[in-house]
Amino acid sequence: MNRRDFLKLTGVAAPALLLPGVFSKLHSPQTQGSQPNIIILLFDALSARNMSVYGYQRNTTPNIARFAERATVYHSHYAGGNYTIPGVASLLTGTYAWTNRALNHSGVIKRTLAEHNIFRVFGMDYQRVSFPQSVWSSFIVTQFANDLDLILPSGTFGEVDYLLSDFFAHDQNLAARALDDFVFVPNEAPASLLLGSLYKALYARESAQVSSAGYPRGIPHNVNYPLQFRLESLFEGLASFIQSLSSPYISYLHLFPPHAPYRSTERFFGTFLDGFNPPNKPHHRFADMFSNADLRDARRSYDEYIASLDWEFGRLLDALDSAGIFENSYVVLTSDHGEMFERGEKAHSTPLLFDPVVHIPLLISAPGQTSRNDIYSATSAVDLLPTFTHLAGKPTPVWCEGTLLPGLGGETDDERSLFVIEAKSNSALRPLTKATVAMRKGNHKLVYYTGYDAEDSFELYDLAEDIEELEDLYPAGPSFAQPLKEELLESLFEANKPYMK
Amino acid sequence: MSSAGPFKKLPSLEQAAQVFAVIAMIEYSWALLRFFYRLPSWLFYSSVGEIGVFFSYMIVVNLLGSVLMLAVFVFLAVLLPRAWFVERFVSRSASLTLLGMGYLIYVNRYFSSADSYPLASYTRDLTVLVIMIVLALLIDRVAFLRNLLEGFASRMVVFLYLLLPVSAIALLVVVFRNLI
Repeated sequence: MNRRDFLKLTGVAAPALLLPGVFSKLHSPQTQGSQPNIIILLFDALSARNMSVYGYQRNTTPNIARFAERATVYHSHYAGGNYTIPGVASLLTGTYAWTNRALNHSGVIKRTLAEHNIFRVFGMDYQRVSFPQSVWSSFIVTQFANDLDLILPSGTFGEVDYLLSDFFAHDQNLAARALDDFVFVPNEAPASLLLGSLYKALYARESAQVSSAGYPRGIPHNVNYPLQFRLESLFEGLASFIQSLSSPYISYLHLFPPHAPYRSTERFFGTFLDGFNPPNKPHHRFADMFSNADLRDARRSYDEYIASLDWEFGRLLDALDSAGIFENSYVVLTSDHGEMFERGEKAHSTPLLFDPVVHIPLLISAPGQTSRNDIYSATSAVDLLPTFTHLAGKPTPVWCEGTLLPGLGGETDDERSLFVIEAKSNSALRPLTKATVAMRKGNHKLVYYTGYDAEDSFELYDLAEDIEELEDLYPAGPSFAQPLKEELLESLFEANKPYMK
Repeated sequence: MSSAGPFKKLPSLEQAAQVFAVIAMIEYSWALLRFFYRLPSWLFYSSVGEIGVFFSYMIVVNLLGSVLMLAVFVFLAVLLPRAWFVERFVSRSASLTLLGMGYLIYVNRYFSSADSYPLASYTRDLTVLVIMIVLALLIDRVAFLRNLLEGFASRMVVFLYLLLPVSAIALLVVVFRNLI
């Protein structure tokens, strides 16, 4: 932790000390209290399909595999959407994006529903902290500012931080959306010719001076916002931060890697020049036009970045282990959405909901757990809130749309339907008419595209027989398609009801 | 123009208002363009109140930018010999403003990424600054252009009757939200 991080931490922590209840919590020792700690470690844009712990051919995640040996591993876990805003909102509210309305890029949860969040459910007897390193996740997290004891600024543990909203602690959500996402956003023309240009020039100059030693592609940075960081500093800072928390606590730590740009460390640069050729999949009509060669290169960079991340995760794992954190904590590793390199589409700015972009990791290590438990039934990001409230002995809120995770209080239910929603081009204030909705039920996945073509369309895949989603069963009209279709359309209709005139 | 004591090289309030009006008109117009460019996406997920707050932050930033630029000109007036700047305060400040902000519009219109931002180069910045100063001096030597600039600046003052109250309200909104 450098001087800047220290100043930031003290700057944020000092006002937090004045909040009722926080002072006493900070002085209770880590090991006291019977309630378990919850550590949610979220890696942005980490697809389960690119992790060796889930069977990927490249050895991208040996350290996460080590963690899996003491965790419950969920093999069919789904994000709430295919990008950060709905992904984070679903996880933290236990509701789907068509309910919480966090649908758009830079969007937020419907104001009247912002009280429905995991931190409020945990209440004041837990220390509630968050580190939204991803600025998009900070748009959601700062909506819950009244229910959090501490929000670390996104630039904490970083090398370069030009976010301005940190200076507006009383109005962080709107200040971030006004200043960092609009007036001073670095990758667009600023909304202030004078100060905006000056700010961009200063940021560009400081960025050019930052050493990229150890990072052949340059040091990692937040793609749309002026934040740069090094993986090793980030994880070292994080390890110290977690150890400084006082039990019982719930911490939501949303780390930006391995989100693009994929900046692997030197150790893993070129590791996957192995000639690996993923299955060739036909171009999708709603996909971009990237060539297979482009997609192969991007996939390789992504895999190398995941391996770099995994290496640092291994160091974090060891640090937490040495500190005895695993003895009294649920440690969760998950993501907000995946990433895809197929069918002409790269990354996750897409209406598509194929598994690589929505199938995310979920591994949960319970206090003192020493053996691995594998769960294969489908689960969703909305299940985390009810599960952890249950494990902490809190009542599950009635508004929650998730269920208890199997292996942690819940039962396997193959008849359960879960949804993934993409509607970034649809107004959050209106019914969903331009959207993609995927419904997973048993082994089947039905995908509904509405508003993208002249006519709405469906795709249907059997994930038990066709994990790569190569054969669309819908045109053949199998008997089981109709009830699935009716259920999906009925669920969408119910979600749209409050917004119909 | 003030004529006594340590403030003898300060421009008059009228001159300062004319220069400020030129700066603010360009700065606020650009900001409004950006605001209306972004507005459709905000309407997808933001309330009217939230959009009003975004507008307020934007206006306050632009107010600060405009005041800062005027302060630079006032500082130059105090620093330089009277004949170099104060006596031609409006025309020289206005021509520098138009040239400088014209260049910023060009830069921000065509170079959006921070990675390739032209203003990050000291050499280029210095070159552009020298060219602008030379051009401003040349413009000032042509009576027609000088009169045109002074006339333009004096007519811009009328917009301050709108911009200043709007800025004051925006400032109140931002201060209020950050104090409560």
